[in-house]
Amino acid sequence: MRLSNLIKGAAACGLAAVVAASAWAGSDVPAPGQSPTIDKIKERGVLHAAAIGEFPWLPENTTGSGDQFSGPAWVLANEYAKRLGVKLEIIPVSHETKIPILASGQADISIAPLSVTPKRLEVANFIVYSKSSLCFFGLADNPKIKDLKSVDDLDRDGITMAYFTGTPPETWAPTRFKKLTLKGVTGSGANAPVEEIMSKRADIAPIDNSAWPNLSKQVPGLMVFPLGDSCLQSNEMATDVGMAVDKADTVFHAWLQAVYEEVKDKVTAEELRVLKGG
Amino acid sequence: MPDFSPILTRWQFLLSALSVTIYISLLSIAFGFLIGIVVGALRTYGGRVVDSVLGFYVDTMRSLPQLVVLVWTFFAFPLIVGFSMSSTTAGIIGLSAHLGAYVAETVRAGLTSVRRGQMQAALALGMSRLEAIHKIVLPQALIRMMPALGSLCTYAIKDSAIASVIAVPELLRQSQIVVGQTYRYQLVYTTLMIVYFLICYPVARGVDRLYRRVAHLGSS
Repeated sequence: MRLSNLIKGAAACGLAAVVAASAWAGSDVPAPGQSPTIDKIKERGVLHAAAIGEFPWLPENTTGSGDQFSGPAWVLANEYAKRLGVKLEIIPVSHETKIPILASGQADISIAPLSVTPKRLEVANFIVYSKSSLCFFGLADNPKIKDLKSVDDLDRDGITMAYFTGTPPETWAPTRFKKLTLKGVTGSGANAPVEEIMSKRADIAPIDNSAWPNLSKQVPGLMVFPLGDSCLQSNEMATDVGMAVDKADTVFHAWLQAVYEEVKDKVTAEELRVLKGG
Repeated sequence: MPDFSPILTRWQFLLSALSVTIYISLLSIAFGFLIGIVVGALRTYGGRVVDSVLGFYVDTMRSLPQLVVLVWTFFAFPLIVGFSMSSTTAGIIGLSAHLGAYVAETVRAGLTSVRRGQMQAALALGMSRLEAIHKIVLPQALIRMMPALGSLCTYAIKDSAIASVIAVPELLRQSQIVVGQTYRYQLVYTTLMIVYFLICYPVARGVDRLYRRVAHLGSS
């Protein structure tokens, strides 16, 4: 009697598992009715992706021909569109609008490379595909910083740090630096507010460690903290980097994450390709 | 010899941005002028109530920074009306609504500048009110408005750059992307300034020359 109940129970569990798996099996596109976002995307035949270019995750192609972007975020976004059987449409955004646009419903996903911060986790879910940390650069002949040795040394009166408003250093910097002056500036399209440094309106500016080699190659006369090659191993504001979706649709997020898990080797390979190409 | 490669290797990208600038400028001028002419005419001839209602629109737009109108159109308006729009569409709507208010005031000033006697004479000759506006008042008023409307055209072209804040892929924004990749601020932004000058200067001079030719037709 007990054995037959056990068999019946096991059969019921197995059946339930099969039904659940057939309804949504990992990276299979969830069935209609499970994710309002996916239903909406399929209905319109277009995946709206908010984007702003950023090296090395989503560099914009400015040659005038070919794909609009490249990089790991682009590979992943195209994979999502392909699996959904829809067209990928880019909604251009600024640093200030790359997350708020999700709440306005004008984009299904923000593929702009985003550092995952506690504040952002309150309003969005992330699909993490990379990591990042910060370095700080300034003019090598700036008397205020040229003799300093570490990031800690930068935290002193008289030093001004410029950052793009809407980027994570805006909330992180006040907790890391107590004495230096912070100055938010509008995003210029560059990886960092280089113009603030070149025009001497600020002494230092944060930059993603992966973007520093490219900047130092293109703009001579800069120095970086942590000094020299140590920048690449910086642990300042070490964060995950990913793309964001609205918090409301957890099925959509789970599917995006499952697809990423399947193609992550391809995504990582693309990031390495971009970094090597500089 | 300066290195122009940041521009030369991206000329297609920048040309496409220039076409967006021209596109949003032309459409915002067209819609702005349409709104302005209708509002200006209705404020002049539509009676007190219409004048008060439309006056509120004009004063509201003149009290708000264009940047605020654009950001509101892109972010808040879709949530209110329940459908989303591209940044380019939002840019055109915001720029047109703003420009329309200024055109309306110019049109109203132009229409009221034609002496009342002209209208009275037309009516005395048996013309209808609409006919009198169309055949007598408007031709003179249009010529008088010309310098001010020409200035508004150049303002509209220049103000299209404000749409870069809502990420419309126009000339300023795309130039910022090129700067972001090349860090050649002087070269790219100087070129940008020259391009805006090359677009706006002929418009300003062209309207001025046209006005000189036809100014005598507007006197009464």
